[in-house]
Amino acid sequence: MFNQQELSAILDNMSEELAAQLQGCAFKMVGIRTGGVWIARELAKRLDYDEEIGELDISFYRDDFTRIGLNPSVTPTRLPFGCEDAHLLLVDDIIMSGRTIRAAMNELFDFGRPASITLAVLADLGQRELPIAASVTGQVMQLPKGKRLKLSGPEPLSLNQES
Amino acid sequence: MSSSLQLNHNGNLKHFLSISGLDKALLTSILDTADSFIEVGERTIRNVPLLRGKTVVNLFFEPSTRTRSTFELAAKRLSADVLNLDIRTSATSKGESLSDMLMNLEAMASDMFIVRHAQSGAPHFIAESVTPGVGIINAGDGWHAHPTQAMLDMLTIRQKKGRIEGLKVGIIGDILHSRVARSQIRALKMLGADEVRVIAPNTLLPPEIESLGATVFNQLSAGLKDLDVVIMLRLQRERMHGALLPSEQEYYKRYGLTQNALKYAKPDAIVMHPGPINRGVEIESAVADGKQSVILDQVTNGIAVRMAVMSMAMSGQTEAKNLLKEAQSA
Amino acid sequence: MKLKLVDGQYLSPDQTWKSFKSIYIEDGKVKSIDQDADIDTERTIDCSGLRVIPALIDLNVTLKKATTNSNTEHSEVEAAVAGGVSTFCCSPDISPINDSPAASKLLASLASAQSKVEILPLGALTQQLQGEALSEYAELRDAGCIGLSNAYLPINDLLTTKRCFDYAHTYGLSVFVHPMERSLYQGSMHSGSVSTMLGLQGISYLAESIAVSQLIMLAKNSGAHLHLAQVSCKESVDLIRKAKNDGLTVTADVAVANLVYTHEAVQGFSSVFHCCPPLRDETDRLSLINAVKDGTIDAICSAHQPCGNSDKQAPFAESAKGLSTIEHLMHYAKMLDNSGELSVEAFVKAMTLGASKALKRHAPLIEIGASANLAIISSGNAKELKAGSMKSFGKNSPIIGHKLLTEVTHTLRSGELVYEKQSS
Repeated sequence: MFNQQELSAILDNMSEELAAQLQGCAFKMVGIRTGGVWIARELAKRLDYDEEIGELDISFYRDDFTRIGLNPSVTPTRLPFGCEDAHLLLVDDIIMSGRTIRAAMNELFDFGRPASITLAVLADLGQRELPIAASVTGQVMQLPKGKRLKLSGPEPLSLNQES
Repeated sequence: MSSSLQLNHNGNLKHFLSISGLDKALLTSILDTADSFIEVGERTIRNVPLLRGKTVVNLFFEPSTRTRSTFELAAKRLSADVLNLDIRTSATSKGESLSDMLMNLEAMASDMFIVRHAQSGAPHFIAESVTPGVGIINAGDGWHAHPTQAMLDMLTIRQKKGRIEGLKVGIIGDILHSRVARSQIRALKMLGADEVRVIAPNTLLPPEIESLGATVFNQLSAGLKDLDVVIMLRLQRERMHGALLPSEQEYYKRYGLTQNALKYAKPDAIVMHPGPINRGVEIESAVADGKQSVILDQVTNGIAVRMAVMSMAMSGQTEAKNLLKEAQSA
Repeated sequence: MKLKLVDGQYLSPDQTWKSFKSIYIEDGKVKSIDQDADIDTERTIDCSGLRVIPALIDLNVTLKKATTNSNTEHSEVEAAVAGGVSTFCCSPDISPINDSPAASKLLASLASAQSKVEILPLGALTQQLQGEALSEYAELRDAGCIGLSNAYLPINDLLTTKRCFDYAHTYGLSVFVHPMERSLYQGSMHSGSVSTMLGLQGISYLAESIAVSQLIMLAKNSGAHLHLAQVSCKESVDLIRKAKNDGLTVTADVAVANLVYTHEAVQGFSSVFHCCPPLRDETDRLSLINAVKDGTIDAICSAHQPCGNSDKQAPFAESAKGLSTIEHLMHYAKMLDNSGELSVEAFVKAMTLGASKALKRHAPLIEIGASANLAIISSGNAKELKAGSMKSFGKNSPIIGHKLLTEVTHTLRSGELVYEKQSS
């Protein structure tokens, strides 16, 4: 659907919007594993953010544990900064129901009370089940029924439909 | 038998009863999941909401403050409700059978039992008798197994040595009565340790221990030679009564881990002990508190490993329930 | 009852299978084989595809609560005849323990109240089977006990054992002992690789073989007849073989489970295999089979011990001991035959000729004039055994869910049909 060049253009736009929104704010970047971390790295390059990016594994915070169980390949969350009073830029690849973002925010709060959280996502598929909205969205899209969207990466990045 | 009892149809853990019957991939995934929980333990808020609304029952038929506390802490960090039952003072003394007692506990809508029992195989028996959906974690049964202790030891070795493959490990002390040693030997062999030695006088060795893959050494210095990991076992004082050992002094002189004895092992060897330590009975204070000792890391890792095993077993039970539902609706 | 069996095979006195056209049974005896007899038979049993064997004699059956629960006693008798057994020795570990003439008489009255099987009571070797004081041997003999046994409980010390032998010999009573050296007989299974793996306390072969060597010496010294009951290991076999070569009148039996299973069966804490003597290793099992073949071990017994379901519902070492085996003896015989380890003929011989030798009785053979104690067996119909279809109240059978290889279709005792398999 989108190859690396096309994604690059979308990311350029996103970083411009973010730069405007976060002007003068000393923010910390956090990506949601796995796709969100790749997007966060791309945005960091464009935003001249040279600190280490936080990596969030939300497996322990998912609200569907009692239905689908534990992610078999959970890896430790790594936050190289404190959350208390920090302005956080949370990045994910795709937003749909909003449940992943809710889990991520719950997890971030267990590291401390942030001053603010800004959410950036590459693709928004709609179908929200929770009142959650991204501050910056790369591309709003609609998928045919039965299709899923998958980000491949990190080199090269591409966004594809799968069934 | 025990492998099919421990795993659901997808090969995921649903009870954790013994190391035996679990493959290398599953043991490694327990260690990897535990690594993630170690990170959780370093946060401001150490709880994750994974088992919120679940009830975990600590079913201890044998006293153990330490193991029970780490299981309790692990369950609480997973946000589960915890019920501690000290069985010695309640059920069995009133002649209630184990099966009857379990039915009562299930009626309280428990989701998981952490079982410690003086009889080898008691957790197996309970796992076979409980209603499907209730996970059983073995917290030590008789002389048979103590799989969470073995896994926290594996995690500690992997942290300190970077790997388990190719290591030489010695276990020193009362192997005969040790469920810890049996589980450790199993886990070490399955995870690829090069050599597992048991070092003890013959009265403290079970028959045909070699069949588990261990090599027997009667002499401490020979057994310690070239070891990467030295695991000490606690020596129960009552062993002096049953004609197993003549005296603590004679034992300490020949099998006690002193700084001098430790010189036979590799210079960077680590020293482990499942606790509680008998200073001057099996280990010298200077070694227990020395720089090669990783005994305190074992305690920290114990919580993470138990969190991992509890959440994996609960997940496996969930999966089994879903499979059952699908099968019924199909 | 006048009976005619037609068109089958029977196990002849020379231990080979012979085809027959007819066997007439009258007045409790075999009247004729393949000769027309002028008898109006009340019943003809078509034996085509079936085999007729002498009914089995079982040297050890535990009835458990037989005297307190008449149903239990009844069920075990039904189980015995369904297994092709016409005679069995009743172990003294019943309730009340058979250590007094009163208890023996109670048992004898139970035995005579039913006519399906012959029950031979074994009196307690020591009071309450405690291994300390002698019970009243002379009184027990007069009350009908055919021998003495201490069931599966050890005797305190050698002095007591010596006195047991000396006193038993005074009254010509045989001593049936399961050899156990008390201080070593501690644990719940065989001491070996599996006990080490499972962390269960193991019973060393020494706990048995040391007792065997002591018992042989004591028996020789006293002159009493020693029957070593349910030996389980190679070392015991070697000692018995030597004693027999030395001309001693010692006899021995083995429990069927020890011929079929080893300690590997206990893997996974399978409490159905918790039994006494323990299942030992493959070397022991093969040595026991060879001993049956060469006659070192005279007899095979069921060592039948029915347990209630709840008795086995416990962690392994706390679960009740014993296997419920009497109903399916011929299934186990066929298992051993199929594996080429022991022929059905040899198995039957051990449970008829061998057992009667231990009991000092006439050999039960299928010949004209002999008592018509017979069992008719079929090759199994490949149906899975269900607990609910077992006659024994003890459902502690290791072959539940297995396909039966052989079934007993009829059992005759003294010419009377005491069991007939219901076609289902």
